[in-house]
Amino acid sequence: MRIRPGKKGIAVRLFDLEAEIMDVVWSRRMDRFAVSDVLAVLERRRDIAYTTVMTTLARLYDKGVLDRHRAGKRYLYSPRLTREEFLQSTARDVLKGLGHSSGQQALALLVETVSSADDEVLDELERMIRLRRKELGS
Amino acid sequence: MIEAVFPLVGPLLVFAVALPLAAILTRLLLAAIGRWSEQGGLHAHQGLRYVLLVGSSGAPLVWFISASLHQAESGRSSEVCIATHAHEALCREAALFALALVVCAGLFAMPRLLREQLANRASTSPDALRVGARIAAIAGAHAALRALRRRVVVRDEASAPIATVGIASPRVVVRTSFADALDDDALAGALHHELEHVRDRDPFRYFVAWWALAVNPLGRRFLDKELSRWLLAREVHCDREAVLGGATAPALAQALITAARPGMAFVPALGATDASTLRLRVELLLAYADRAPHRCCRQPALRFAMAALLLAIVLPHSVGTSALDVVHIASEQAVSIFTGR
Repeated sequence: MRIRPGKKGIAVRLFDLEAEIMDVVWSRRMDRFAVSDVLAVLERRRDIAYTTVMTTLARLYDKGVLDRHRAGKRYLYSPRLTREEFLQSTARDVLKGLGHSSGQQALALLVETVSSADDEVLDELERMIRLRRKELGS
Repeated sequence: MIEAVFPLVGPLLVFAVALPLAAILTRLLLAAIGRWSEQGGLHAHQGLRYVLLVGSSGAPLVWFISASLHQAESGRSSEVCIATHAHEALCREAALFALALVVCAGLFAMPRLLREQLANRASTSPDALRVGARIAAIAGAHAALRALRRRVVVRDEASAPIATVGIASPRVVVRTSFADALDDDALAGALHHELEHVRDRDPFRYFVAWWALAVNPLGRRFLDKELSRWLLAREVHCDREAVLGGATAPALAQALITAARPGMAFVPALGATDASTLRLRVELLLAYADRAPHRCCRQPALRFAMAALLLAIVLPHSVGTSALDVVHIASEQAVSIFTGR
């Protein structure tokens, strides 16, 4: 699997469209779906061809992120991993890049402060959270 | 040879030779575990990792102290004591050696312990009292958070936005400005997270792990990255338990972002310019919003560590104290070489 450390979220290990499709699959809890089901969601956001979605789903199957079964003339796909399981599997890359601990003893911090260079990352994560909170109506 | 040689030079040999060797061995063991459980994710063998981290310094020190006390026992001295002080009821050298080790190891711990006792007393400003009342109302609305009653301290000038402190009696310290920056949902999420630290007595665990690395000359150099990994796994564990305990996952994620803002705290960053660990935690929390997480196995790390240390205490009394004899002889020989006698 190709690692794309500069990308956000699940795009760390998936190409942009692959990540977008998996986001649709996980957030809509699609346990069994056809190409047309994903296409219907993506078409509401932008122009996209059936063959593009079909090819991308086939690539996700090749990467082991999706399972598929033949149902008549078409394939039905299902996710092999939950989003959490997928993220846990990518944690290896994060662990490799871990720096030294802060030396804070006997102090369980909620989170360590990141440097001001990461302000953009924080803004982007905050946007993601706001969007999700809005979706959940909280 | 004067009796002071072993109590003075022996601890030096323990700190300069035995502990660094233990750190190198621990690093190799942890690397082997990492390769063995590559697919296990963040939480694989966290209990074992903690035991090894603490044991890298704790086990040799406890073993040497226990062994020297065994040699110092009246009428049951080992060969070295018998050879040099057969007529004495108590082997003073061994007892002084044990005392020197305890003092050296304790010196690393005492300043931190004292500082902790003095810090983090509650503020009595109107803002702090207002935030305290708000937290009490939030805790009243969440059954799980009632366990935090009398364990939350609000401070205007806390060193971190929110943290769990207290080695003997854990409590949550919340900075007034941090609480003000969050809505009730996000503050409740942060409190749920800290509740897990309180339940698992994490300040004590963190302190013991910090001490184990600080007391070892090669501890931070060889094992600090492993400590970072263990700390991250603990935080991810507490995030998940918070959600299982009733926190709203995206609200807790919001609390993480607010706490991580550079202006929010003056503690140094984990990985300084790298927000990847924060991103991982936020994305895991957003994943919990799609599908509730499963309760993961508890990591009885502290119990494992205590069992390992108990073993280190008992072993010299049952197996023998030959390593201590080696240190004893080596320290006397080193002084002989140095002084030319």
